[in-house]
Amino acid sequence: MELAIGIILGCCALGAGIAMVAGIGPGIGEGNAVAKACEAIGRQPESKGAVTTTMLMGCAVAETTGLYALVIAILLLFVAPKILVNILVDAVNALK
Amino acid sequence: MKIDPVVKKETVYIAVIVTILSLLMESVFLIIGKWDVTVLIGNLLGGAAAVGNFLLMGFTVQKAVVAEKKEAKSLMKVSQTLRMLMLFVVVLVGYLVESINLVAVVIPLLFPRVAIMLHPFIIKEKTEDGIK
Repeated sequence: MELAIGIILGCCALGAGIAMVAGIGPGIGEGNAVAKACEAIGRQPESKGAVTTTMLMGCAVAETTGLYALVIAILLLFVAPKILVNILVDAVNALK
Repeated sequence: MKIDPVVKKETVYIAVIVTILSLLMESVFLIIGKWDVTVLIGNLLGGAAAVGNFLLMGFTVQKAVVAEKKEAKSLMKVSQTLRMLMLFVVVLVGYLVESINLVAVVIPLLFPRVAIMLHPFIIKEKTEDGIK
């Protein structure tokens, strides 16, 4: 029983860690977008406003991917273990 | 630091849409009979975090566009990591504090994405040749 609970908790923590790998992507993507925006503004300084608006929106969209990962990781860390352990306990009690 | 007018405009837009969607979410909770004060507190926390996150990103973008290319890249990466940590702390608070509903904290964090999806329909900007 303890082993099964341990495996559940370990897998949840592992899953949360793997989910947070998705948090790396937005950072790199936003960095690249801003670097290209710097280039664009350098070439056409008069378009700074339009470039900033578009980039800001693009960065926010890119960031959502990381947010989804964060939500999944939090659910796996805090919500899933309780539910899964309860299911396990119920199943064991039903077998007895 | 002075806020760029573009950042200010977009943050206000995001804040307005987040407020509208938050009210919508509150009414959904009310309709399904799960509304209590924990939902309201959670919604306020989540909404503030979502708008704050966007504002901080705006500040970083404002700073990064006038920086060197490499510096801008690293600035955005560091900012993204720190903002993600901030959101993690916010959700953690929502989970740990009994008087805050976790679902009401998490859902408003995704509202800025909805606001961006609605952006082309709500704000119609004219292009240089006058065509929308």
